[in-house]
Amino acid sequence: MGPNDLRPADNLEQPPFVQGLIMGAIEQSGAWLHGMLRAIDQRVLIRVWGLGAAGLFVLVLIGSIAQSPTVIGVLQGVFAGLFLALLFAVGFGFLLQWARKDRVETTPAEASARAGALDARLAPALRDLTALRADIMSQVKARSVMRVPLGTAGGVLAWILARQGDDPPSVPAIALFMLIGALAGEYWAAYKLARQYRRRYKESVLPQIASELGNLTYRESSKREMERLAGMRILPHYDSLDSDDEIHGVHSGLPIRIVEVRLRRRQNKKRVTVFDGLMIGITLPRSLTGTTLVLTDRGAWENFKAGWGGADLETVRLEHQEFEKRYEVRSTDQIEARALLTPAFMERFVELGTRGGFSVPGAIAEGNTLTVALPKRMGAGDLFEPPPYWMPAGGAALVRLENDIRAVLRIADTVIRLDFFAAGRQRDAERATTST
Amino acid sequence: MNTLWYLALGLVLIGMYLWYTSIVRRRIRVSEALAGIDVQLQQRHDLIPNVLTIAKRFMEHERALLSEITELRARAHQQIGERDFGKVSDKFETEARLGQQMGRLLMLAENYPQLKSDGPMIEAQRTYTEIETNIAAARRFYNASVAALTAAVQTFPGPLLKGAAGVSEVPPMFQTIDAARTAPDAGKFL
Repeated sequence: MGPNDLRPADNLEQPPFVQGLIMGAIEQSGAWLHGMLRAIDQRVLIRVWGLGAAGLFVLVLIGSIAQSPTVIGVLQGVFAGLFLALLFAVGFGFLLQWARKDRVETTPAEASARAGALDARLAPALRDLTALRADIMSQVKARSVMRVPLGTAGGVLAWILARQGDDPPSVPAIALFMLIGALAGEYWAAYKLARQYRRRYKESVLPQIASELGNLTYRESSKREMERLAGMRILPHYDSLDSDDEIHGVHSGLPIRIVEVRLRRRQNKKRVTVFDGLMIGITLPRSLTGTTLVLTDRGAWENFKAGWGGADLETVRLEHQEFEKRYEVRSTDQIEARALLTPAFMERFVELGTRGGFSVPGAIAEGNTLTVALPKRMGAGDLFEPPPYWMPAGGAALVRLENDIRAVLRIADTVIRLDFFAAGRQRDAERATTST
Repeated sequence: MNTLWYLALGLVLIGMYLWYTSIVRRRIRVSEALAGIDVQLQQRHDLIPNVLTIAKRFMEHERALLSEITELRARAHQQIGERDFGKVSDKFETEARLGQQMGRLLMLAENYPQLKSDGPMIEAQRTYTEIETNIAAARRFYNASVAALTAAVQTFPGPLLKGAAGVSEVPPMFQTIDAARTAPDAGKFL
């Protein structure tokens, strides 16, 4: 069976009705704007850009002076004008950049070939997923028949209730209330099924992709274990912890475990993400027995107040000034802590934080297992996320998942290189791979 | 007024007592660090006969070096547990020489392909490297402890209290021997 046989029928590649309508409208207006900007001469657009920003500045300045013909009025006009002109320039600049790109992204030949190869290797799993998708789509459709109208009616009801309040919405706003209600109804119809599909997708596809990249596999991570590590204070304070994906196995000759973790905390009535990254655990080829914690230094008072780590952990003072400034080290064994935190380790650990443009919140060594918490780079997004059930299960989605696993393994390599002995084992493994 | 004087005297006495306990704690920490070095050195001494036994099978031409290592090991082994600060420097020097000669042996072993690929030798080398890392860590801990003790006894009122706290002399820092400060010339050995 060829990869083409796995392609689902066209009606399986459409999002649910309401979402489809919204996405279609966005797509249409995006295409219209893109086409219009592409049709206009670049030089004209650049003139509009410059003149628009300058014109906006002058208009705001004149308006401000007309309203208050004093020095304060002039100053207010200058600052407000500059701010708005800058805002316009940035926004229009982004628009021009977007217009310069082709709307239909062409898939590079190499990625297309990889997608084909992955489709062929995962054919049985993809066939099952395609069947599941068809089933889910028909179930969502069936449920939507009742739930979308119910949601829409709920939206109308909410609009009626809101009309009784102090700040009643306008009559046309009923359309917005109905749209939100319909979306909620559709979400209600699809949520459980979509979650079930995601789980099944991950369980059937990710272990196979991981095993292609080494002696690795995928499993659902243990939240309790992550909470235990977070409790050792190698991660920032948090209220809620999400961790569901774990890649584990042997990489570069070392047992390894990579878990994606997101921590959130309530701050000023908002939920903010305080950590979004990876917990990378490697088993070092060492004979360590104690526990050593490397934590972001929160100041003497904070460290004392929190009384973290337990009574059997003592502070370890180290010679590396930059490392000492950034981190607080506590350990059950002063010598073991120094055997692990060699000058080279400390240098690389500091560099790992500064080079990536983020600070490494912490690390823990329990016996021979070293676990380092590493934030993801800005804009990295969620890793190991399967496509939604209305998108093809194979092709580009598989390439993206493979890229995710490759990316986390590259990050794991930097953790391995922290330790002299682990790096040695990595070199041995690379030599063995090259010679075979 | 008298109350103020008593209060001030009380504070001074409390301060002196805290300083005294700090010196005692730091002195104990130095002894602990010395014991830590001994634990690691003992492991090194236990491993050396194994390395020598394996090396003897292949390195016929290096008898002089092998017997020098045996002698240094025997001398160093007697100094394990030495707590007299006057003799600690001598102990450190013997160990540094032993470490240097072992390094030389392992470097020469690279010249013997059979020895280099010998399974037990590879394992012994790995263990030796780990022990050396631990010895270096133990020395860093010792030096950090000595630095903390030195700061406590040399800063007022430390000089007044050090005798009572059992510090008659400040222990020496671990320092590398002169020969180890210069990079080895690999050409001489190969």
